[in-house]
Order: sequence, then C-alpha cells, then structure tokens
Amino acid sequence: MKIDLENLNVQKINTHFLNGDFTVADLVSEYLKNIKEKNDDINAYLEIFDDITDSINRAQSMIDDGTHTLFTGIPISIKDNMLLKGKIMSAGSKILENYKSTYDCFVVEKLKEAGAVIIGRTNMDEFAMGSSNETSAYGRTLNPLDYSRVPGGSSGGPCASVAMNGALLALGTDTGGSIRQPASFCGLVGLKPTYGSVSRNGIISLSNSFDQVGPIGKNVEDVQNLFELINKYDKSDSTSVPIELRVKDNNIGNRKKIGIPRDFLNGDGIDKEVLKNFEDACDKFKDQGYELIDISLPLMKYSLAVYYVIQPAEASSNLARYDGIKYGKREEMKSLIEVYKQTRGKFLGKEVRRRIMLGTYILSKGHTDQFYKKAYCLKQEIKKEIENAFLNVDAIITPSCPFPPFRFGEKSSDPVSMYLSDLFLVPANIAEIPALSIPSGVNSEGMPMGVQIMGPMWREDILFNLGKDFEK
Amino acid sequence: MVFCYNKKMQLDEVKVLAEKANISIEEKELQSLTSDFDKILTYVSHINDAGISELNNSDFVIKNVYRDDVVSNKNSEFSKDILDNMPDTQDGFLKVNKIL
Repeated sequence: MKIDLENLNVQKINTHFLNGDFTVADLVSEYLKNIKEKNDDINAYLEIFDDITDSINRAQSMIDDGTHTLFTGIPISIKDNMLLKGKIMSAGSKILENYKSTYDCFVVEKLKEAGAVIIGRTNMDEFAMGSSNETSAYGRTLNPLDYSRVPGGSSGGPCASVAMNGALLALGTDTGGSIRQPASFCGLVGLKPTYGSVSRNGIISLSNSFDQVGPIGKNVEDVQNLFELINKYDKSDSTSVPIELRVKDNNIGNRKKIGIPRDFLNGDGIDKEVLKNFEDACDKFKDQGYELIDISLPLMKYSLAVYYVIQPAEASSNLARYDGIKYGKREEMKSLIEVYKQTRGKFLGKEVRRRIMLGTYILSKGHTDQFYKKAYCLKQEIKKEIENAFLNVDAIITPSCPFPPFRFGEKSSDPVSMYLSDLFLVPANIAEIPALSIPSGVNSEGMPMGVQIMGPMWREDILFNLGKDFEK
Repeated sequence: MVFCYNKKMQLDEVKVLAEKANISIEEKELQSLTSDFDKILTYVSHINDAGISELNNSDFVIKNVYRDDVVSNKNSEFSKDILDNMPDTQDGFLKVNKIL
C-alpha cells in the first residue's frame, strides 16, 4: 500500500504493521527518502545512524513474533545531547566532536526496549543554549516551513526532523522552553513534562534543576503515547521522583476552568497577530465548553529574570567538566592551566562562553546573595503562586511565543531580545509544572503560532485532554 | 536593602571572570562581553522589584538523594570505552601534563 506520511500516527502505523499493509523497512525508507532530499538544506540531522538496518530488522521480528509494543518500528529522532552507546554525541559543540557515548541514556533505553527505530541524532544550539539553533557548532538548522527563518531552539533539529517528515516523532530537552518554542515555530506539538517525571540519566546537563526530556510530534495523541513510554521512575537519576511520591490532586481536572494570566500578556514586544490568534484560541476553548477566567499572577513576569540567574549559574558549574582532560577535544599546551584555558577558549562557542562567565559572576563572592539566593527564593514564591492558581482553575493558557518564527540573524546580536522568546515558556520550568505547546494557526505570512497549556504537577493528563479538545 | 544593578561592568572585571572560568578570550570579544553582561545583568536585576523579603536560610529546601554504595558494573566493563574517549593515555592511564 502507498504510505502517506502526512496522515499517519503511532496507532495507525501499529495497525498497518500488524495487518501487514507495509513493513518497518517500507516505512523507514519513506522517511529516509525525505531526509536524503531535504537534509542537505535543512540540516536537521547531524548523523543518520549506520546500523539503522539492524534496528529495522529487530523491530520487524518483534512484530512477526508477537513481542511488539505500540512503538515497535516507529521512526524517532533524538537530540544530540542524549547518549546512545557507541555513537558520537556532541551536544552541538566542537568540544565533544569526537565523544563516543559509553552507555545508553534512560530514554534511549526505553525506545530500544520498545523496538522503536532511532533514525539519527539531530542538531541543536550548543549545549542547548539558544532559541534559534544559530549557536550550533555544526551549522544552523532551517525552518522546514520557510528556509529564511529559524526553526527555534534549542531543540530546533528534533523539531525540524519531524516537520520535514524525517521522523514521526522526536525527543528533545526543555530547560527554559527548548521543546515548546521550536515546536511552536515548526507547527508541532511539544511537551515539557513535570520536573522529575522523565529521567535525566545520560542527558547532557545544561541547568540540571530545570532540564527535562520530552516528546515532539504532529498531534497530541502521539506526544501522549511517547510521554507514557518514557514517564518512569529511574533510580539512576537522583531527581527522578518515585511513582508513589507523585501526588496528584484529583479534584483538579474536571472543572473545565481555564485561567488566563491577563496582566502577563499585556507586556511590550508581543506581536499583535499573536495576541489576536490567542484570543481566537480562547474562543475555541469556550466553544468546547470551557469556562475562561482572568487570573492574576503578579510574580509570573519575573520568571525569565529568575531563570537567567539560576540557569547560567548551574551551567557554569556543569560545564566545568569540559576541560580537555578526560574526554572531548584537547588543545595541547605546555602547562596544565593553559590546556584548560585554550581548550575551553577554542572549542566552546561564544554563547556558551558568555553563559559560563555570567554564571561565574553570579556565583562569585559578593554576588551570590544579590543574584543567586534572591533568584532561588523568588523561584519558590513563583512556584507557590502558580500552585495556588490551580485551586481555582484546571489549567493556565498563554501564547507559546511572543512572536512568530523570526529570520536568521534578526536577534543574534542582542542576547536579551533572544532570551525574550521564551518569556511565556520559562514559568513552567521555574514552577516545575508540565506544559504543552500546540499549534493554533498561522499568521498573515503563513507562519505557525502556538498556544501553551500549563497544568499542575504530574497532571500531563489534563494537558492532553485540553489539547485533544483544541484539536477537534 | 534593595540592590539595583546600576554600575557599568568594567573590562578588567570581565578579564578576571575569564580567568576564573579558565577560558582564554580575545580582547575584542571581552569588549563585546562587557556590554552583553551589562544588558543581561540589568534585565535580571528586575528580580529585586518583586518585593520578596530578606533571605531566609530555611528557604533552601535542597536535599541530597543517595543510592546504595554498591558496585553495579562488572570489573573493567566500561574501561576500554572510557579510555578510548581520553585525549591521551599511557598503559591504561589518563595522561596529562606535569603539574609540579
């Protein structure tokens, strides 16, 4: 049968495999055809794995002998910051250009167990520091919907790989919007799960108190299915929360009430078409029987400032390990201290150097109280404020991004204007709550926009229900 | 006390930061970093406008989670892969410059 990639989802593919309508090899070759045709331009993939045939054969035999799962034979891409044993994992950086993973990260382990076909590793902003994929050491990734525009970041590669039909689904990481922003820019669905729900074992740390792995796909159902596959406790990650401790408030979720943090949306720099699109999205929820309530969250607007204190501080500490000694690139020099300095100066990119130094400043004597401790306390207050909001509403919605996908170079000269693209997305990382970005239409130039749904801790189910109602 | 970031970052301070972070950076980039830091620190100083009360050490609720201290891998199970990733080795050891 002819394979129509546009109209497939995980469930349908599974049925087709079981009916024998097409094989895993047939399906994967359709995706590989697209990659061959488009990847030279788009640069979504940094590497297509050379042993993909083994994965295909393994998946097919699971289907044939009845040991298959829902994800057997499903083509998935992973971000270049996830370890896959024996493969290069560079985190988009020159400093790890030659680094070969010594084990599988937790999420790759889950994909392999399920029999998924991992197509390859995808491009990203260097060490996930960026919102446009322009900081990758391996060239920029283009937005498959308009090659003159950025795909978003830092999971720009994963999102572009799905948007160009180079994989059905992708795994990305979200530290301060890095799944949801590129998903919105590429017209896709992206989930940042509750902090502690998906193991970070084998994921390259950017800011470990915010980093979280999550799924990216074309519809809510696929994203939900992939989330369920990776949403497991893992003893190897000390921040993975045991299932019995994931306390859910079951009173929340069936009141059909959605909160809109109206004051937060009235700031400067928010595109008019984005606001109009958001109002249309609100009407759509009303049509589905939801009650929309304006809520006041006066601390939410400080989230981005809090984030740009804590995140560089943690990054400066996490990236201290890239020193040219144990792995990665080394610049040979006479003295050890010069090895450190020259290696880091030469093989870390500009944005990474900037954030390490910013973090060093924030954590240095005299600045810790003024910046880090203050930001940490404010983080707790923001979290409390958002938790309290869920006493009255089941979910909170905002636009995903203040503006549609921008052109290359448009924001790269001013770091703060780049950081502002995550204005609405960062509060979920600060509050550790789950958040889903779903496509909400296109602007007058045909560029996609998204709406973000945030829910209480461990209540991804609420987001999926709202998302599916919105898709109707 | 409300702290407000209103001082200008000095080039010399940025040089010290580069030293502390062990990153060699060219003079020209140090200059652009100086103005970048001003912009970013001015932005993040908004955290002082939130009116959050003075710091309280009990607000730091971080706790450690430990695993059992047992060997979970076979002897030398990962040694070759780890050694292969090292920039320089000798007789199964990591080789670095003389320190003394």
